[in-house]
Amino acid sequence: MKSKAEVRPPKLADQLFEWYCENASIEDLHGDVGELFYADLKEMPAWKAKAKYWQQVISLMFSYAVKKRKKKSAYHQYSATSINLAMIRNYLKIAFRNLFKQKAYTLINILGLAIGMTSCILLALYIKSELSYDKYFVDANRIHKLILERKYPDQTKIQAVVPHSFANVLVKDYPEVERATTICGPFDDMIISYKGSDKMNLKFLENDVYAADSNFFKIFSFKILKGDRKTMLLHPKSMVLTESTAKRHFHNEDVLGKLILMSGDVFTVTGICEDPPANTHLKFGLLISIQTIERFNLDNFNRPDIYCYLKLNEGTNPALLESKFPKMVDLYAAADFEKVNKTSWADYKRAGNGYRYFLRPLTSIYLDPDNIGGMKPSGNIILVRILIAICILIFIIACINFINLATARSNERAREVGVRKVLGSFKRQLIFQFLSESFIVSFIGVSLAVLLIAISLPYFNLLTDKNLQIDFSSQTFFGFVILTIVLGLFAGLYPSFVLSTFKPVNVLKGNFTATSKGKWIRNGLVIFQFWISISLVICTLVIQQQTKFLSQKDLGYDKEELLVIEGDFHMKPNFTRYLIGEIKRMSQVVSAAGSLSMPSMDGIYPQQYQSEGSQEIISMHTMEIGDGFAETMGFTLLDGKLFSPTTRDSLSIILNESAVKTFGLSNPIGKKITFIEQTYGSGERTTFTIIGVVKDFHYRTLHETINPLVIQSNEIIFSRMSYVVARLKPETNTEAISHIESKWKELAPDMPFQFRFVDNILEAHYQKEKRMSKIFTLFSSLSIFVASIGLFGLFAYTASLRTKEIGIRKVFGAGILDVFSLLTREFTKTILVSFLLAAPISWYIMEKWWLQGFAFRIQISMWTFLLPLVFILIVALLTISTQTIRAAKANPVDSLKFE
Amino acid sequence: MKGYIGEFEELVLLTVASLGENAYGVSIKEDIEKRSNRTISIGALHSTITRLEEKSYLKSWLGEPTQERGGRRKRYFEVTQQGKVALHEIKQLRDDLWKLSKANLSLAK
Repeated sequence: MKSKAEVRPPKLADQLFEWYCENASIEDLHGDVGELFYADLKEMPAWKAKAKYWQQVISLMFSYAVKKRKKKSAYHQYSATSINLAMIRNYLKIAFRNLFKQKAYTLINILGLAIGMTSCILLALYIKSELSYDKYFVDANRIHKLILERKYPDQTKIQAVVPHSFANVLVKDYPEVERATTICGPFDDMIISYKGSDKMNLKFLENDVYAADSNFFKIFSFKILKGDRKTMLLHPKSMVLTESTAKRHFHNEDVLGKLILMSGDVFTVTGICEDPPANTHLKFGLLISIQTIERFNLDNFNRPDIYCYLKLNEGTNPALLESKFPKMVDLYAAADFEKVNKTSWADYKRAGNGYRYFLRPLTSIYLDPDNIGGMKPSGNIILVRILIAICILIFIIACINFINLATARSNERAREVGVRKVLGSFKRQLIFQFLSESFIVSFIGVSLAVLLIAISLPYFNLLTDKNLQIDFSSQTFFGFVILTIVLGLFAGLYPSFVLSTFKPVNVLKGNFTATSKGKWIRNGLVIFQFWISISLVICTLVIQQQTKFLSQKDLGYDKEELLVIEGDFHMKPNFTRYLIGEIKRMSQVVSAAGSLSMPSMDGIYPQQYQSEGSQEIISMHTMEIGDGFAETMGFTLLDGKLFSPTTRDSLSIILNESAVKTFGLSNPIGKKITFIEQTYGSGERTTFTIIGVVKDFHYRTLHETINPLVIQSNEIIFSRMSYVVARLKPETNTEAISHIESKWKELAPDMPFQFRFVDNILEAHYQKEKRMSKIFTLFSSLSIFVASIGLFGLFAYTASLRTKEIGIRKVFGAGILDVFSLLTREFTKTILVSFLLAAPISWYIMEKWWLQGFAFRIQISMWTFLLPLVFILIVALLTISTQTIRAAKANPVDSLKFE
Repeated sequence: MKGYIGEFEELVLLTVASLGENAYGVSIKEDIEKRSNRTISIGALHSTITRLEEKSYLKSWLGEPTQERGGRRKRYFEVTQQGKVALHEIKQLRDDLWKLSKANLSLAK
C-alpha cells in the first residue's frame, strides 16, 4: 500500500484532460484541480480523492471556461494547426515552382508513376475480374457444388461429375440442404431445327446444350426474361434459351411456345434467361429439362454423370454436412454397386477403392486447382496470387523512383529548408509542404494513368482474352482519389521526413552534403527495383521457354496438316465410311480415317482390364479407332501390326508401351487381355488378343504424363465413328477444305460442315500458359521500363554532382573511357547485386513451384539467368549512356572555370 | 441597470472582492462552499468566472509558479470598476426594495 504522500492524481484523467483541451491554456485550471486533490487526500481515502479528481476534471471539460479557452487558442499566433488557407496556397505555389524549375525530373517522376500506376490498375482490374466469379448470384455463399473423389488402390481422382441420384437423396435425408439441382452436359454439335417464318425447315448446329432440372433457376438467380422461373424446366421436352441464342435464331419474335426439333425429340420453348455473364463458371446456350433424358428417371448412385449443386440452409456448416456423406454412400451406393458388379462393396472398399464426396463453395469453383467447374477452362489461383504480388511490387518500384529522386536532390532543397526553419517554420509544416509536392505529382501521375488505361484497355483485353471495363462511377472516382492519396503518402513520406529534419545551422553554414546514409538507402532501393525486375524477366523467360516447349513437343504423332471433321454422324457408319473413301481419293489428301476417340479431344475413357493369368483388375484409358486411323495420325508401330480393313479386328487390341509395362508383358503379341465392361454396369467380360504395340504418344495434354493406353477397334461397336481425320499434303489446305466441304454438302446437305486443324486444337490447350506468358512479358517489360526511368533520373543527378571531379580528372589526363567506367562502375555493381538476389528466388519460384505443374517440362539452363542479366545491363547502360557520354565529353574548362 | 447578474455570479463577485489579493479558483470555491454551505464543482465555478470576465466584471492575471501546485501557476481574479458598479447597482436595487417592503418582511409574528 502506497503512503498517502506518494499518491498522485490519476494519470488517465490528466491525459484525457490535456488531450481534450488541445492547445488551450489550462495551466491554472489544472493547478486548481491538483490543489483540490491534495487537499481532499488529507481528509479522505485515496480512491475517493481520485474519484473526486475525475469528477472535477470532467466538470471542467464540460465547463464554459474550457470551451472558451479552446476557441481562443485557435486564433493564437503560436497555434500549431498549420492548416490554413494562406499556407496551403503557399505550399502549392512553392511546389509548382519547384516542379517547373526541374522539368526533366518532374517529367521522369510523373512518367514513372503514370506507367507504374497504369500497370497496377490494369492488373487490379484483371485480378478483380478473376476473383469476382460467381459472386453475383443471390445467396452465392450458401450454394455448394458436390464433388467426387474417386479412390483407386493406386491413385485418387477428383471429379466434377457425380451420380445423379444423390441430389434427391441429399434433399430428402438432410434437412440442412434446402434444394439441389442436377445439370448434365455439354451436348455439343446438336442439330436443332424448326420452321422459319417462311415455313421452311431451318437447321442449325448448337453447342453448349445442357440438361437441367427445375431447381436450376431456383438456385441460380439468372434473370428470367420470359417464362416462369419455377416451372420452365419442370416438364419433359421443355427448352430454355439464353437471350443470345434466342436472338440468333428468332431475332425479335416471341419464341415462347415455339417447337424445336433436336435429336429426334420435339421441344417446346418455355423460357428465355439472360446470357450467363462472363464471370460465372456456368456456361450454356440452351437448356433442356433433364427429365427428357430417360436414364435420369432411374436410380444411379455409382456412375458419375451430372454436375450437382446444393443450396444449404442459412447457418449450415458445410464441413458438418460433409462428415455425414460416407454413411450416405454406404447406404445408397453399396446395393447398387453390388447388383452391377457382382462383388461385395466391403471387399471393393477394402481393396482401397471408394467414393468420397465433398462440397466446394460456389465462389471458389472457378479458381479451384482441381478444375472442378467443368464447363469452362478454370482460372489459376497461383497466377492470381503472383499477379497480386506483381501489382504491389510495381507500385513499390514506381514509388521508389520518386523517393530516390527526391532524396538525391535534397541538398538543392536544403537551403530552403534552413531558411524556412530560421523564419519559424515547424517541422510539421515542412513535412506538409513536401507532401503537398508529392501529392501534386501523384495526382498528375494517376490522372495520366487513367488516360493511359482508357487507351490501353482494349489491347489489354485482347491480350488476356477478357472483357475488362472501367466504369467511371463515383466509386471508381473514389478509388482513384484513394490511390492518389496512398501513392502521395507512400512516395512522399520518407523524403519529406528526411528533408524536414535538416538542421538550419549546418545547412546555412554551407557545409551541407548529402549523407552517406542517404546514399545507402538510395542504393538499397535501386537494388530492390532491379531485384524485382530481374526476377520478373527470369520468370518470364522460363514461362516463355516452357510454353514454346509445349507447343513444339513431339507428341508421338504428326499434328501438322491434320484435319478433323466432327458432326452428327456417330450413328451412321456407312455414311462415314463412304465419306472417308471419297476424301481419300482427293489429290490433296494423303490419307483419311475415322475414329470414335481423338487424342487431346475426346472419346478416351478409363476401362477395366485384367491380363491373362493375373487377378489384378487394372484401369486403363481406352481408345476406339477405325482402320487406318493409326497410320493417318502417324503413330509409331513398335511390334506386331495395326488394324486393317482386310482383317476382323473386333477382338484385337493394340497397347502403348506404358500399357505393356503395366501389364508386365515381356512378349506381348498374341497375349490375351480381358476387358470388364463397367460403363453400363453389366460386368460383362470380353477377351482380346494383343496384335500390336505402338510407341507412347500424348493422347491428353502435356500437363499429364502418358498413362497406359489400350486401343480397341471400332469394329466392336459396329464400326461407329465420331471423328474423321484427314492428312493433307502440305500447302494444299484451302483447296483441300473446299473440296471436302463440297463433297460433304453433296452427301449430307442438311448437316453443317465442321472441321478443325489438330494443331489449333492443341494450341487451345495451352492457352492458359500462353496467356500467362504474355502477361508476364508485358509486366516485366513495364517494370524494367519504370525502374530504368528512375535509374536515368538518379544517374543524371549523380553525374551532374560530379562534373567538377570529372573536370579535374580530365585535366590530369583521364580519357573518355576512364570517365565512362568511373561513372558506370557503381551502377554495374548495383545491378550485379540485384541479380545475385534475383537469381535464386526466381529459380526457386519457377523450379519448385510453377514447373511442378507440368509432367513434361524444360530444364532451367544457365542462359535463362545470364540472358536477363546481360539484357538488364545493356538496358541500364543504354539508359545512362547519354548522361555518361555528355559528362565524359564535357570540356573541363566549363566545369572548372567557376571557383 | 446595464447587465443582469445572477445570484451565483453575485456570490462569486462578492467572494472575489472579499478575498482581496488571494482570489483564485480554489480559494473562491472553498470560501463559497464554507459560507453558503453548498458544494460547487470547479467546472461550474470557472464557467461563471469566464462569463464574468466576458462581461468585464472580473479581470485576471497569472501568478508566479509555486511548488505546491507542481509548478502550475494560479490565475488570480480582481473585481473591475464595472464589476463594482454592477454590484453597487444590484445592492441599490435590493436596498430600495427592502425599504419598501420592510413591514411585510418582518420576521416577527
